[in-house]
Amino acid sequence: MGKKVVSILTTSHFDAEGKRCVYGGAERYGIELTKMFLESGWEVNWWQAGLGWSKQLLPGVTIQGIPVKDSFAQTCSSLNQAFYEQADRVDLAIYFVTFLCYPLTLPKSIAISHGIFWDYPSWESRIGGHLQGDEWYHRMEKALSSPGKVVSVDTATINWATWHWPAMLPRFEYIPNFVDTSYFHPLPENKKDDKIRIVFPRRLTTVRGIGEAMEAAKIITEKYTGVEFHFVGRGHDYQHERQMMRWAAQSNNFFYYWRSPMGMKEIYQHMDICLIPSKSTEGTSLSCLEAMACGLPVIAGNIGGLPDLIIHNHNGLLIKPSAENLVESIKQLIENKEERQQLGEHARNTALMFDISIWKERWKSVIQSVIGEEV
Amino acid sequence: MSLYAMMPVYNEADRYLKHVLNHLSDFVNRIVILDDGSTDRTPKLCRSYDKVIYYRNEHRTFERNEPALRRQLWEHTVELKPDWILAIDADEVFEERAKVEFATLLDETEYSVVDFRLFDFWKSNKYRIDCGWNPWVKNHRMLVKYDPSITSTWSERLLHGGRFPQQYYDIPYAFQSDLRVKHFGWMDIHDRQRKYDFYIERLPDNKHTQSIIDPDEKVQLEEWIPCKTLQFLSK
Repeated sequence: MGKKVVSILTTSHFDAEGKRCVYGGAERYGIELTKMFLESGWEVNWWQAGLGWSKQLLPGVTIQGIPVKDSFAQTCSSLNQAFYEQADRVDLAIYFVTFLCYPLTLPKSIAISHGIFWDYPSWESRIGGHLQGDEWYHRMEKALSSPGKVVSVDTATINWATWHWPAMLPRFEYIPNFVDTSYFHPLPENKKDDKIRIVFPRRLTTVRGIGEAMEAAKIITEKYTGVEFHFVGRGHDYQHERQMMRWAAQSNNFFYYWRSPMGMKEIYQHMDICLIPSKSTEGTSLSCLEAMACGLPVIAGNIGGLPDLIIHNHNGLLIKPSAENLVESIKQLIENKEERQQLGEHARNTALMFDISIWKERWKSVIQSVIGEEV
Repeated sequence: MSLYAMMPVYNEADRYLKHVLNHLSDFVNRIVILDDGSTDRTPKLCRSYDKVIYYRNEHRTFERNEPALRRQLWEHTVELKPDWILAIDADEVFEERAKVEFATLLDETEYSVVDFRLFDFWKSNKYRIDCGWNPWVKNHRMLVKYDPSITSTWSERLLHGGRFPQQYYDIPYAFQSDLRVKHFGWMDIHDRQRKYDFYIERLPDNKHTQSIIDPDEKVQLEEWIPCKTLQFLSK
């Protein structure tokens, strides 16, 4: 008997020309999912929107770029239809983004929701106004109703969907994101100085609360001169990055740089507090989980999937992400070392429950329920 | 993880070589140098560094066939079986903070190639940013994890064919490092004229070549933005 085959459809693992990959959270999720299938003896192939190219994603794993004609109401019907025709003989189809299930879905299929991305004020105008917004709801309903299962990385998406369409609950499987807790771990306390270091480990975007974090950094460092703020992440473009570098150069307490996902470990290991003050568009953030696994108390925005990870005053602080609230929470943790350390210990223990081994087992169980046999 | 730098040199003794070798000695294991027939004190200077492994061509190759020179240097380097190879020129140095952060790049398992941004210094503490000189958007492949299973082939372009075999440019996941490289090759006006004369003969219609001798009012410069060293990573 030959290997089982899974085809995974995504929008853009690589850019349209197939030359560049911006390796963010979703791409890492895709690679870990691929590795899980390979470890289980499956053949994996990927499809995405692209200018008709084919390349290797991992050894033995191809990714095809399919030319796409349209993108209306945040869906890509022609990509979906091309995939439907060309991947029809696979044992399992995975729609890496839920809206890719519209309009046609292969019989044995799973869609993934990486979190709510429509919870910011300009969403409706971005999608093209009220009418396209209505069409988007209609398509979303169809997309969520069609695959065998919908894996959601957070409970917020499930709550949102079942509020709109109550009968949808059984379709959802909650599999929160993962962290490799054997790689991301705390170091024994071995500080060479008495500085308190605070990290903002995200992209420099408004939805991630960059403005609020910068404002808080200014206020805090005026009062506490031994506190450092480390902004670690890329901007949307080089102008943002250059501007941020200039801003950080103004003060001995501000740092700006970026790291690879693996390279973040040693940064977290030397920090005392982590800020994830997202305002929208957030699932169960990999950065949040990795910081927690390294024993950091996280001050997190109370939106998206973050409340699935953070229990206020137990393993971090959950706040409405304003600059004022950030300042108050940071002060609380600066002034109370014992509390900071206890939250960090609890954060590490919480992260263990999100270890990648658990994530893989949960995924295998969902796959089994869709294909009707063991993975 | 071992890191070997590889560097072609030619009459560098009175330029930046000493600075570059001091700099590299702080964070690489060995520096493989291919001297393309220097006639000045370059050989002596190179040999005064413990980490340098020195090779020499008696007749200059670069002007006739840059890829052949790069290939020869690569072959000398891979004979020593390093884990990682840094391709650097004798007028390039990383910003100061790289010394404590470079080790992390070498522990990487998700990437096997790393790109860096090259800032072309024009005068004192300023680099050039107009048109094709904008360093913020150009990523140069300078660091690769050596893979002995790859059969290497080289670009046939006689100019700018790359510092590595073609296969290392085809690897899909490249990490774009934020560590900046200072390139001093355009600082001296005589160097500029010499390079212009060289390229104008070979690439006469190229806009970038023309821009080498742009008058001052057309040249846009930007002051170097300092970036602090992560002291907590210092050993």
